[in-house]
Amino acid sequence: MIIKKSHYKKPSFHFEILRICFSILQGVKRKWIKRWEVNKFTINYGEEVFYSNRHMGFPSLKMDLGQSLICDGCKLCKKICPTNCIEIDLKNGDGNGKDNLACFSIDLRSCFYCNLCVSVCPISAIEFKNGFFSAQNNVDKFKVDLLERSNKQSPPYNLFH
Amino acid sequence: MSNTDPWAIEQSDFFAWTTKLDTFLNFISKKKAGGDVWPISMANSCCGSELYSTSSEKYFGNKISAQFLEDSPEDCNLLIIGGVITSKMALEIKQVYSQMLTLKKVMALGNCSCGGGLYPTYNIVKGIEKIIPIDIYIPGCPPSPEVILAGVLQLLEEVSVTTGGPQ
Amino acid sequence: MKNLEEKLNLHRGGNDTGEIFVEGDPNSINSELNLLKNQFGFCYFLDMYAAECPGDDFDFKIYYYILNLDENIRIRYTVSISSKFSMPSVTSIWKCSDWYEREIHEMYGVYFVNRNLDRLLLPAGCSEKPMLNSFRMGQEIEATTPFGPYFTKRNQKDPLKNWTKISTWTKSTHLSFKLWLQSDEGKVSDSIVEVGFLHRGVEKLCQNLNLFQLSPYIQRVNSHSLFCGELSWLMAIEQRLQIKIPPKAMAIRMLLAEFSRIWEHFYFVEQVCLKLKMDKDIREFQFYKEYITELFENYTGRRQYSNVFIGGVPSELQAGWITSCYDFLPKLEIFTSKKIRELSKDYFFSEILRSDSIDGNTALELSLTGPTLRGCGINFDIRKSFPYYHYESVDFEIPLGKHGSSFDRVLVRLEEVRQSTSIILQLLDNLPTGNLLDEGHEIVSLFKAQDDGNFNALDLMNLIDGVKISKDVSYSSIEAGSGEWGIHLHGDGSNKASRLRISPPSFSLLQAFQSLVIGREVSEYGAFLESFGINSSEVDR
Repeated sequence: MIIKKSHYKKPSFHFEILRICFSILQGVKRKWIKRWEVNKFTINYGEEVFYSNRHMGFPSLKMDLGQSLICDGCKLCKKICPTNCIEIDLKNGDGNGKDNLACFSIDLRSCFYCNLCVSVCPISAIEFKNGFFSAQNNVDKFKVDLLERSNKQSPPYNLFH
Repeated sequence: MSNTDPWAIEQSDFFAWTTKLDTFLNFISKKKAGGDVWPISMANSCCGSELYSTSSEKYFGNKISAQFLEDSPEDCNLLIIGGVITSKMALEIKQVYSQMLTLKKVMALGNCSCGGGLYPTYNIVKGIEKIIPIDIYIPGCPPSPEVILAGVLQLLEEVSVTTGGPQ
Repeated sequence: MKNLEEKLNLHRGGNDTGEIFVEGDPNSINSELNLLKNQFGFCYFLDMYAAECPGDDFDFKIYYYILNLDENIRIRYTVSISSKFSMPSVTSIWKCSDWYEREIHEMYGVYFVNRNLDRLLLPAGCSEKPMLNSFRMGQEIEATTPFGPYFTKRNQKDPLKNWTKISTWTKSTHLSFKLWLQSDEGKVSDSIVEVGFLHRGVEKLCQNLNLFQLSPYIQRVNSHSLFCGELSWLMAIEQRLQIKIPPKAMAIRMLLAEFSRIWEHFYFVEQVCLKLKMDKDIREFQFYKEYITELFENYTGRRQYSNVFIGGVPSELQAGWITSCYDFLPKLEIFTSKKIRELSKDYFFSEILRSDSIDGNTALELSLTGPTLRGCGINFDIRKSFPYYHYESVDFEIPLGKHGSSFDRVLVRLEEVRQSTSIILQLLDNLPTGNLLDEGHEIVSLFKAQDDGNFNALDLMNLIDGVKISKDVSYSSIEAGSGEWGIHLHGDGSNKASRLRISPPSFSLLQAFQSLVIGREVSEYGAFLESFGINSSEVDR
């Protein structure tokens, strides 16, 4: 289809003068009469901020109903990660089994949320949760130990529901 | 607010927004003593598009429009670095940094400028802290606008606490 | 040339993908390509790149990729040379092969005769060739002199005339290059563009990473679009590994692609209004863009770069998502119709943007793509010529412009938004039912291992490493917001790709801008540049 001919027509001079007068009146109305109206588009902080259910904030390890970790220690997520940001340490050699983890840390400066570790894990022991990791002063604080965070008795991460 | 325990920062962040936004808006409209924040941004790729959408009306109302990106560096206070930093770009950042006012702050936005190993290739400067001192790091790839706002508020609070008034 | 005619007649109608493979002689390139262009009608230049072939007699292979617009046939013309051979250059036939030859020279070391070979992407003073196999991943390059040949060229001509330097990274977030304009009584007489400020070397990464691990890197090549890089990468892999997606997954991916197209068109029209300081229009565009990113986040979980699975789509559309689409789309259509009428009646807007025009012949010589090509009146769209997914059964039209000015490009973009809303409504009315993933394929079952719980870790690792790419060459492309986004995949028989080439649309658009800006006013270059739709992270890769 070819665009309509009426869009290519140049506007006439007298029509322009009428438009200018109308736009001046509109500006006067916006500045002086409607000045105290609140814009409906901006968010008024003081209310709650809602994230969607599937929002990916930062990674965390899943827990059972009996408050124990599901993670086995098979190190598949470490092998598939493109930037090598996961570090896993086991207590008793290479044996798989629960309660075997000594350290599970992710370097949040290199994680770019590709979801490969979540989709590869055969027991689905890792997931992305709501919320976010706040800004820091120091570069060394970006290595986050996920075992400590899951063990703490604390309110849930998503504060905004 | 202490910076040693990251869990403490997250818990109090929700309350930080409701009380601190008033002081932040007062900084901009110059009602309290002092407080000019004039940003200049050198945010390039993915982090640049998120920075552009925080300057929209949804988060700031009528105070800042999208034209805050156009500025000359001689009047500016706050340098925002975002996006991938290559060897050609690092020389340009150094030039802009030297042309700004004497009392300045630097903010690093996104994972690539925090010094992470995202692209392990030949043309990339791994960690811009070798060239310029940075005051605050904001993680994320790319960070969503709520995270950027929380980071900016934290920076302004530090400025008022340490010096007794912003420059 | 009787040999060429015989080859073309033999191969026509053979290949499944519509491609013809022709082997050429390096000494007679110019005569054969001239024949192809003038007599057989292959007048559109798509791509040109080089690849290293170890184990053969020759060192390098150079590929030319050209297209016939009338009959929709592509030709891949290959030439095998050794490393000491000096190639003849093709710039006398197509003007737009300038930057492609410069990139091959600095990455591989191939020498072209009778040409001024300056640096394009790498910093000046660097003497290594990074794309060769002998250059390892941990090595680094030097960056000694920042102002290389551009400085000397500027000084050579006339040091007293006015050169203005414009660096675009403080003015907008999607452009980062340096521009030098020589002004003569207020009009531009010469221009130089320097790129390479965001060069990350993504094509070098494919030699060290798996197919699965590469997808986040290719998403981030185009930084200002929601879904464009992901879709072309998935299409390239699935065409190669022979995975067939169920029709419901095709429909959901088309929905996301059309929403991303609307977002990109609104972004570039908003940038044109920003340069002309029209504040009221900017706020209205931002509202609709934010709504689209929220819709995107509610389905996929991330604002910008989603992670769609290989083999389909991971999860269902929620019921609330569809109803909010039905509430939102009629408002969007009324808004764009109102904007088209307002902007065309605005005296200030149309006078500045209407003052230049591009001919159809120059558009084909400079190989423009996307809405810029359709603004000149040429009817070419990948969704109609090489259709993919469900685009054959959906009813839509392609808008064309008349004169080729920036005013036409803005109108074409806004009209395409209206067509996209009608596509989305048609899809939502007739969503097919069925599976979400292609479960017969062994690779897709890898990602569904969580349900069974019977998989061993060693078995999974063998599956990931055992995905082999066949020994072949293939090309696939989609229609993104700015033009044709294509990926070339070369296979080796192993589990890693031997050469990966990304051909974005902004590469030829920025090269064309360098010659099209001559003759315009210096103060009006801003809106002219934004109407093309150039993204600087695509150009540098």
